[in-house]
Amino acid sequence: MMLTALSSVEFCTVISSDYPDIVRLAAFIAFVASILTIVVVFVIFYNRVAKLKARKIADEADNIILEELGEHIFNYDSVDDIPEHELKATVRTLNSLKNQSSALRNSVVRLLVYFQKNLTGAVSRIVSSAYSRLRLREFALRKLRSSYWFYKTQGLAEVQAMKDDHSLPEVYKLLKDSNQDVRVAAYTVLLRLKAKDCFDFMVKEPDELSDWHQIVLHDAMVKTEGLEIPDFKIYFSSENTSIIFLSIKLIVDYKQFNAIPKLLSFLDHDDERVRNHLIMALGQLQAENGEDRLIERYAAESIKNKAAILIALGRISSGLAVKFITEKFLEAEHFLVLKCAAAAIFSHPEPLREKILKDLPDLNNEQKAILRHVAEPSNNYGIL
Amino acid sequence: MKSRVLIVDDELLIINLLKTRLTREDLLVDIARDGQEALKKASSKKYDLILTDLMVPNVAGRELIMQIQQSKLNANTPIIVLSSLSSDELIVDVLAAGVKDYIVKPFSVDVIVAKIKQLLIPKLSVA
Repeated sequence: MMLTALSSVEFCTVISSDYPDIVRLAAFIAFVASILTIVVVFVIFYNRVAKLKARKIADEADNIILEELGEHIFNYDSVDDIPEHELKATVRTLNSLKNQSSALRNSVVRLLVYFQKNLTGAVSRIVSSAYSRLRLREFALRKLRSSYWFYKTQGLAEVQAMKDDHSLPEVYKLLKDSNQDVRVAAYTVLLRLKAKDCFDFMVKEPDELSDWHQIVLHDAMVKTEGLEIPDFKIYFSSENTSIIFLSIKLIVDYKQFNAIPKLLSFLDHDDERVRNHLIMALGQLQAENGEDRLIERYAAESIKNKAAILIALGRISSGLAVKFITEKFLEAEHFLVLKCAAAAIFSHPEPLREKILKDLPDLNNEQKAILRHVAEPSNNYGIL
Repeated sequence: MKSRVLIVDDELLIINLLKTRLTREDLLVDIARDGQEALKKASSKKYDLILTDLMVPNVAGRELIMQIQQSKLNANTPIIVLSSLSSDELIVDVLAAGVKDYIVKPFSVDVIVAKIKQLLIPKLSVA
């Protein structure tokens, strides 16, 4: 502060004296810069203090609510075991806490959502009952109607965790939100709650889904028990490449073997990445009837897809592509092709593998080294 | 004599909930918030059962399980894993390491308590 005061005095002296303009301008800039520095340092300090204070308030709120829940709710094995007067008193206490401050309200919501996400059984039912009695759904709905995307996703996460079917009409409204994170969160809620038309996003999503979004949606599908799974090959006609990627992944996960002809017919797709996914999927589905088509495609493909074809043929391991794989191993000029051909040889079952290795002609040092490398199963992690 | 259980988890809310319930079942409960703390406790005290998350700070996963199994006092202590990781390969791998049970989150507190009591019954009947 003293430094600033001193600088201010010097600044005034320089500005008011007969110094050249350039010196006066420099003094002005220096003065403004020092003021800005002080302001920035103050803002950083203030934010840190405010954040620590907010965390302290949140922790205190958590403790108060946990104590209340622990003493009066979680001690029971089911909702029915809780005496009505005790449940009413606890709800009354939580309700007054909820209305005291936004920190306490957020804490009540966060804790109930946390327990609902991590627990099943009696405690989960008790939590659900408390959520409903405290009318916290209204706050979730308010978040869904907010104009800020992060409140909307927060609200959607709450609806999902609390399995709140009654909020679905509001969730449907968010399917056309301009923010993709909100849309994906809404799709996830529909999948998790097994709502009507929950797979419609695979037709209607206008933008490419990022890898993360695909993982989130994939996770929602595979972890929702009792979800009616569609035939994913119907989404191949989508113009959204990410939807094709997701469909291929799901076909493999759900072992939809009836999709193999469709996968084969799409091997002429213009997009190299789509072809790569298709090739890998054929391998994972061990599509023996696809071997000829994969071999046929080999010459026209990029190095990455050539490697994928060799891996796929290795996974299929019918024995019919042995000659092709061996040839590619012997004539490989690119290291990736050499490595994948070697891995494909080693993925064949034992008697056949021995025969392939025995029939190989004299090998150069690199070929011998790569065969030794792939002979160690852990080295093939991620390849096969 | 009361049975002693060690809970290893970095999520305080889960720990508190389990501790409350297990204490009600007349068990002595110790807690550890990370792998290192768990190993320190396992090397100084004999437990009748260890309930651990797989993803805890410092030492985690199979490494934590292996080190507990190599400790002098708790080499034969039954271990139950509680984790949100649910891939079949991982579960098979962890069970192959000698773990008694693998419970996927979200979990039921009642089920965990029942499993713990079941694993502690032989010890109680011998006593």
